[in-house]
Amino acid sequence: MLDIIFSEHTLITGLGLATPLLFCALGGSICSKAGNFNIALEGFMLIGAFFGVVGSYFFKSPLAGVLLAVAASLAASMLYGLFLLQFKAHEVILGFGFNMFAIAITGWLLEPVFGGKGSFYDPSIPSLKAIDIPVVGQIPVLRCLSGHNILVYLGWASVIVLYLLLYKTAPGYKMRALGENKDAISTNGLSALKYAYLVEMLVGVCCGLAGAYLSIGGLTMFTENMTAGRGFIAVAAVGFSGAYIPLAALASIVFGIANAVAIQLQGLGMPTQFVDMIPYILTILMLLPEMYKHKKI
Amino acid sequence: MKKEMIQSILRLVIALAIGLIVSSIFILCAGENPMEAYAAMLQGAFVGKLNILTTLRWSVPYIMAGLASAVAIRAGMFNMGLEGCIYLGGLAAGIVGAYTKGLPSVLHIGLCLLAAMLVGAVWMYLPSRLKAYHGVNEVIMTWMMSYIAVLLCQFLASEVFQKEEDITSAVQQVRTPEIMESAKLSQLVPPYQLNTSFLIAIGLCVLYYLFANRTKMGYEQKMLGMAPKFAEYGGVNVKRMQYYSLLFSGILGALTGAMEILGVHYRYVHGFGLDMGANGILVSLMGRLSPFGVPAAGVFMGAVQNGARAMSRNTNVSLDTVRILISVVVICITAEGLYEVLKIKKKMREGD
Amino acid sequence: MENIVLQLNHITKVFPHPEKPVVANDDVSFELRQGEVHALVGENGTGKSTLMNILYGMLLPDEGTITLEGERVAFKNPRDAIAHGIGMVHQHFMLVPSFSVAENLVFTYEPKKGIFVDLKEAEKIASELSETYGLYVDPKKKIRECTLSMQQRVEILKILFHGAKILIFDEPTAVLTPQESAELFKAFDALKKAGKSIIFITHKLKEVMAAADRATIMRKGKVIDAVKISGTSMEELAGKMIGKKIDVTVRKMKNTGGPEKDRKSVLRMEHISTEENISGMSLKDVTLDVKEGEIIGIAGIGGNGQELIVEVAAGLFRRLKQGRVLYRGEEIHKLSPGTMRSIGIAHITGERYIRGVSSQSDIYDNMVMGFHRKEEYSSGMFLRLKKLRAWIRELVQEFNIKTSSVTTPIMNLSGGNVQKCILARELSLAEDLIIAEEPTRGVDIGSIEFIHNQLLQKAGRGYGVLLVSTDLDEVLSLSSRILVMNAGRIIGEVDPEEPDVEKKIGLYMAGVGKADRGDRE
Repeated sequence: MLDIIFSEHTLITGLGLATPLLFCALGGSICSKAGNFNIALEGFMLIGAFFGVVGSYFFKSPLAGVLLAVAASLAASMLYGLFLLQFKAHEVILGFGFNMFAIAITGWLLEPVFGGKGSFYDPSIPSLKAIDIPVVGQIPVLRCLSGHNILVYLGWASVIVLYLLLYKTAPGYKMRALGENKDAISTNGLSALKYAYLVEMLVGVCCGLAGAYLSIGGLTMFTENMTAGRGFIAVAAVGFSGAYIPLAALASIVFGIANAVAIQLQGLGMPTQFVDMIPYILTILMLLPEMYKHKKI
Repeated sequence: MKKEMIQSILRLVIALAIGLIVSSIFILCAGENPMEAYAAMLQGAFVGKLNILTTLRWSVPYIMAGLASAVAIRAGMFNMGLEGCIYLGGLAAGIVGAYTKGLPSVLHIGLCLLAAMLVGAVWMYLPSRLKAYHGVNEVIMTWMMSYIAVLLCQFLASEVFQKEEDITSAVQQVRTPEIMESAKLSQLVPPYQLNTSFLIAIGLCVLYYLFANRTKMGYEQKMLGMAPKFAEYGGVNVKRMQYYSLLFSGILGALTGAMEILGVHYRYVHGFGLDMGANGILVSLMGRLSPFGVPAAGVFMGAVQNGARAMSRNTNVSLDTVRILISVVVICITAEGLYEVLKIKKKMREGD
Repeated sequence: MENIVLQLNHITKVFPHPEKPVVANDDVSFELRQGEVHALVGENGTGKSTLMNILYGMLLPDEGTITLEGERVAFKNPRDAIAHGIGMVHQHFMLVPSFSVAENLVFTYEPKKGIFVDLKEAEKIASELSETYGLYVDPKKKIRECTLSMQQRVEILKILFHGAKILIFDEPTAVLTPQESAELFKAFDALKKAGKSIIFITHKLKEVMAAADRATIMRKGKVIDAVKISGTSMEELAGKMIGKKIDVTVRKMKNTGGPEKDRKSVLRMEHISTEENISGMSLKDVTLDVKEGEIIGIAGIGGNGQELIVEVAAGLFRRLKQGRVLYRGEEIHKLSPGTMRSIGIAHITGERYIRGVSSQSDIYDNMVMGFHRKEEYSSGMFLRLKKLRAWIRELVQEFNIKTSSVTTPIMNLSGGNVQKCILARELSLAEDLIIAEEPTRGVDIGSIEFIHNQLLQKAGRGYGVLLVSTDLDEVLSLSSRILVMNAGRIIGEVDPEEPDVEKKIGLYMAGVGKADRGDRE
């Protein structure tokens, strides 16, 4: 029984499940460092997921799907930025509104675009292909790292790229300064607003990729509200890791694997509802370390 | 005070106007005339006895959920898990209503409501406790709890309490057995769905008014929501206030669900509270947490939802259009800068 | 004629306001000469900072021009001003706490290696600059671990790195000990020698006399006069600043209570040590005693644990490691702020707009806090609204708070009037202990006098007062005893009457001298 749960297959599933979380957590970490508690990740991701299918369906190319997903999510995040930064909307309520908006608009579009209600699935639409890494694919256990689609590898690469961007480059310095002392930017005569928008752009791209992975990463399909709270799981992972990118990435991957393990429980006769609950319960567990931080106040 | 009132109403109108403009675009895209669609909506909401009474019937859960959300927001927190509480409350009332026998009606209804409130309190105990005493983020916590609650209700209703004949019947719905006659809230104007839960909701609004404007706790809660550091410094027991506010939000949420079940559905039907939590949060924001604003916004929301059904029946406009309308209003409602862009503030200033 | 580097000509700046627009600068002209230290003197809210923000490109003037080295210039933003050799050390430092000294120094002007920031180069720049100007900093240290005076040095080096020729300092001594201030003034001399010109904003006349070559005095948005320091006196400056002759010598309070021995202790802290608060500060073995009719002053540079003493005394911080707090002989350190308040401890907070008021509420809601719990104003769980409203109106009149009605939003009031609201509330709530934290910071002179008199009166009537202030003059003029804090300890106790008291306090503030509380007098 245990060997079913802790098999290489579970590991592979876990890495897959972790990918959308990873992207979102990366975006969320940047937001958090820049002083924005962003709960709209969920909405951006859902919009990305929808347009991923649209791109893939109409251009017959998964790559076009990814690009369209990123573009749509980016547009949403810029709109979010406009309302947050320029119209000074309340962070939580705005994020809540955006999530509602994402569900509503993807639900609305489903019918005219695909002519169906609730969900859309068409096996003929191309999805992202799995790519094998040469040598690694032969080594036991390590071979779990191989055979994923391009977005999974991109996710791992993004951890490094975004880390370097945030901690080693001049724009990264400014983005981090946003969250700590905005005036340090403006008294040097630069526009803090510009960097705040840059942050929103980055989170838009990240969530777009997350969405694309969900809808065209494996099966090509879209169902209403298919993100099912993954954005919040990412937000929790960001909080758990103190928005430190490597730690947030690690948290997402561990979460993905834990989730994959949990899914195996269904095979052992656990009711589906309880299996579906597991990610939410894991998320709540991730919130708990905040208790210790809180004691400092 | 007066000036502030006018200003807040004006802001609401602007947010609504933007929402209507955006949804008009979507209606146009669907090949319909927005004016006709809105006319159908208005007619469906307000013209004729049936429509008016149905609007009032729908306003009950929104007023209730609005109060539930307002109680939390007033103390500076968000209960994003209202929907979960609504489902749980509904299930508790449905089960107690169906399985307790031989009680006089008042007692039976009271017992059902009490059971729902208890379940709501138990469910919100953990998030309330963790938020108030340990600083765990309540937004994510309650949101996650909501997902869990809905799944739990689905499991309980389908695997534990569903009757054999319902599984095999053509209804294709997860639902529990019908409640006893004694547990049903009576209709105010039979055969319309509007029932005594409307009176309960109005009563709760009055209580909320007294609490908010006349009591020590009400004052302290308001200060906590507006300026937590000030409240702490002024001697408000911040933790206890947060704890009870969130707990009460859950209790009122559960009550919302229970009243829906006892007054309208007469049995727990899975999915009965779809979007009710989110809309409740919007109602509390639109009503600016005020004891008069929340019921007004609740009736408005009832009209929108009821009208939207008529609209989608009579035109080619889907219910998602209304969701778009609502979400745009949520996005715009706190956007201060938007009103500055539209020069509202300036005009107000020149006006006085 | 000495070389004039900078002229501000007829600057006018009006801030719009719904009721009455504020004229922050009214036809202000200002001249800075090459290589001088020029003090810009005036009370709070007289438009000094506005003028400098215009010079620094943060604000655009409505009217008037700027001439820099004979050329007319207009700065659209600070980057313009920086490019023209103007640098500003703000009152609140513009540093990023989690960055190192070097990272802050080069912030927004980072040296690069490829696409990455060259940290080595930044550190080299920092230590080179540090050496050139004799301003010591540790390039690798994180800002949040630096003392305030080192943070200030980072700010100075930062603007020198930007190539500043004209350096503006906004109230630079507020965060320094008297000795550190003297050091800063020495640094001014070094900067002058290096050909820099300095504008020094302050309201402390002693510092003007000590450090400046010339001074421009502002009052209510206008320039009153520009004088040479060598040809003026403190009294003359004060007269020009306030508009009437005032006595600048320090007023001493007179204790009118009974003989010292019979006075009972109101508040007593015994060997209090606490856990760290969020900014990493903790109290270490703090013992103090406030008796009836006494004003105990706590001096020290901001952020040395004073705020913790206040929070412990008011029940806002309860994570003690050892020790106890006694109020009239009873332990109170486990009680909540609510209970503390119900037994009559009043607290005039230093965090005026964060703790002191609810900034989105009106005057009434702000002043009700505390009274709403009193039996007089409530019955059971309900409030007696009529009575409360009448009482708040009475308070507003008694404390001469200038407002048209009690439903005016609190933020429409001036800083002085907001402070009066807090004072009215707290002094009326107090039963026999008042904790006053920075009671007059940022308040106009008229209100300062009023507030000081109120505190003295209360002490005269037998209240115990714990006065925490970073304004040394305030502590010296009001207290009967002064405790000096450094790094979470009470490092020394002085009598305000003793000779050379300022120097002694200064040394204590800097952490020099051990806690020799046993062998005083």
